Amino acid sequence: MVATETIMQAATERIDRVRDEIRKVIVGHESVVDGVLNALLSGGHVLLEGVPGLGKTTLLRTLGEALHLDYSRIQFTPDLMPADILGSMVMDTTATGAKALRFERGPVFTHLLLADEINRATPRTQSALLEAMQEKTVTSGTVTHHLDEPFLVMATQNPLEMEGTYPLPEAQLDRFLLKVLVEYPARNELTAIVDLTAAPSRPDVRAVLDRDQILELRACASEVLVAPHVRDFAISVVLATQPSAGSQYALARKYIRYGSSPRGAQALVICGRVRALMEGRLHVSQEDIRELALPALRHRIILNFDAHADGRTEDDILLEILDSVVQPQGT
Amino acid sequence: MSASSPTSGRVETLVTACLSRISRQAIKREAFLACAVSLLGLCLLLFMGTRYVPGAVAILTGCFGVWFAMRRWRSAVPDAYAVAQQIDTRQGLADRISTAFFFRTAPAGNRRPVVEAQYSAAANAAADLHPAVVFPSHTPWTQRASVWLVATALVLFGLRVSVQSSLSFEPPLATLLLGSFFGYVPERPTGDPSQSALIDEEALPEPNAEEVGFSEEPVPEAKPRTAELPEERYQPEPDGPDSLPEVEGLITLPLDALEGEEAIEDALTSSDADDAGMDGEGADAEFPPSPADEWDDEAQSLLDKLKQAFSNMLETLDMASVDSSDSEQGQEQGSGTTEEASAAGNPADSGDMEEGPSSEAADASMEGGEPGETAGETASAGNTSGEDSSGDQSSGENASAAGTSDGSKELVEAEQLEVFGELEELYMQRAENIKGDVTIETRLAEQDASVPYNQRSTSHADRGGAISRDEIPAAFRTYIKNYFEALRKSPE
Repeated sequence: MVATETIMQAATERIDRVRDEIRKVIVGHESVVDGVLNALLSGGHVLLEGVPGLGKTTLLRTLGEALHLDYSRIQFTPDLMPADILGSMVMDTTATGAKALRFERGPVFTHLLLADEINRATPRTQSALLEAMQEKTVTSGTVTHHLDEPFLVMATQNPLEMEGTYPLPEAQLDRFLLKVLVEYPARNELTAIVDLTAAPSRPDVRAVLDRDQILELRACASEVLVAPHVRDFAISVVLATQPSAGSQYALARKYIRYGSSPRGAQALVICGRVRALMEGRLHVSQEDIRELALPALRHRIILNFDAHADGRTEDDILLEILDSVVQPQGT
Repeated sequence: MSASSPTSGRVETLVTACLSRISRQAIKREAFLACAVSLLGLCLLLFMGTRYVPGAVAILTGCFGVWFAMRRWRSAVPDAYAVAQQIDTRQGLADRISTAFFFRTAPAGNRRPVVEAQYSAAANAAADLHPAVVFPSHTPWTQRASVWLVATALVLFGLRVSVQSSLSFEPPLATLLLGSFFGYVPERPTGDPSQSALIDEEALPEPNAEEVGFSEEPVPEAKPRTAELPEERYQPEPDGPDSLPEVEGLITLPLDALEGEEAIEDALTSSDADDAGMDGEGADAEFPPSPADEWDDEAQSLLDKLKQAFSNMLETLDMASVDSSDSEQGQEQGSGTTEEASAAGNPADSGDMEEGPSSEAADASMEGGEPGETAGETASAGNTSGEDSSGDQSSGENASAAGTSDGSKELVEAEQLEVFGELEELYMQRAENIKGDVTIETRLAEQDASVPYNQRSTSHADRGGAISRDEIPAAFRTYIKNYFEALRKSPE
């Protein structure tokens, strides 16, 4: 028991060290940093939505430095092809002088992948990431290549410029474990950002974790306890977003066209474990589920016309649903 | 964490202690609920009295309260896991106790090192908790309700005792209060012996247990009312429930005494005889003592009304029989004097009867040739003469009316026609303005509101065949026939 407790405490301390290193470069955006770390330790991917210039690319680069992981960036454009992401077969000359086809790996073969402005690529190119994100594999011809763990796709999209963009299909949105909104920094945060960027030297980010330690943290997170009533609460939240005929939540029936998939409940529990570990707990609480409901479910529900006409957002509706979901008591 | 750890069982102990505390609080709350429901029934009984709320209802209310409280108590006590969740919620422990409790009570095969580590953290948190802190005692609303209901019951009981000389739960409290403070005694509905208890027994002049259910003890100081009420003295029946308690707003008649016309007549005759100072059977009857002179005046007026009602009833019945007899004799004899017809029709009144009005009425009935129809109208004239024989002062007015042309058949028929005309007009107006609800009974099966589709079109050949039918005038048959032949040829 003591060993387990020590391991858990060590895991929490490691995560805190990563946070501290990121804070050297990224001012504020605590929820964004925690969301990205949570997705990384949960084995998922994260979609960041925010206007340009909020430090999304800087965050991923800093994260790669702090975790000592490979990092690559793809700027999605309308003429980007799947082969530009996954790789392609190229003609190569062997040592003997013979010609042979060789698979040239694309930028997806990395640990941290920044898919910048992913909604500017065509759906065909966007879908090229589906297999990589879900199965952690890339198939070229008849050969399947496995991606190295940890593999994190951090996609960004700009909510303002929607012309010439291709909104992500629902199937691909569902593969993002979390969708984190990057907000404008507060005044004091903006002051710190200006001072930091105006400094003559950039802060030095140390690598406090390596790949193996990250995998250990994942294993520790999977050990975190989830009581049945907490699990039932997560399921109740997901069910409350589904506007089925028998739903007892009038809000879902009124404003939601499609509710969350079962991946939403999985995301709540898995991310809840990581969050509990980051908070130094060995069990998931309902508060973890509440905190993670917005980033885990906001991209998994589709609002109907009435919601748009009434100016309702996914976050508004999810917050009301969270307040209305009855907390289960007993077994 | 082994079983010998100092934190072992701390979470379970806390949960168990909290569970027992919740159970005690639930027992207290539901016991007071049962008490409150029972007291509610008691208050209802004290207020409404056993006349409207039988004692069994109050007992059933108490039983229902106990049953309802037990049922609520069973559902109010949660299981231990739910108690652990409540501890977490109340103390803000982020599901620490409940998670530890659940995984600790899980099968030993599922225990992992992290379970023990988490339990240790939960046990440390549980060490600082006390059941009284987690679930503080409070006064349940049922306790407050019970106190209020006890006070209400005491007040109602006190009121009932204070306004009653002897404690009785039968009459409603509102009746007692009205009777006590305002002297109001509500009218008892006839035919319900239990209603007799509405009236204070001491205020009644002479109770009769068989008639109104009053006390059966005779009043020793009772004296005959013959001396006080020489004209309207009540004559009881010798062999039946004879006394007639006279109560304000209430007249009770012994039904045995009204079995027939003869009994009514006898009653009136004996009453008249008593008025004349004769000593009859009724003279031996003991009348209730008169408590006050006002009561005597009221009783006298009531007897006046009663006597008048009997007189009118008797006149109606008597004269109807007289006229029917007159008509029968008139038809048998074919012709006769009016005196004979009058004497034959009303032999009982022949002694003191004045002949004029009745003979005219008899003539009117004979001239009509329809004794059955005019018997009613002529009976009223005959009745007036009969009343004269009994010394009624109103006989003069009725006699004058019967002696004039009011009995003429034309006038009577005219009045009848007028009445019928009004009735017909009323009926027609009602028929024009019929309003109301209509209930239509339908089957329980699903109703089909759609109109079935019918084939409305026919072929040209059928139409041609219809030309020869009688519906088409002969002048148009040729024209229509040509038209349909042209239609037949047009497709070719």
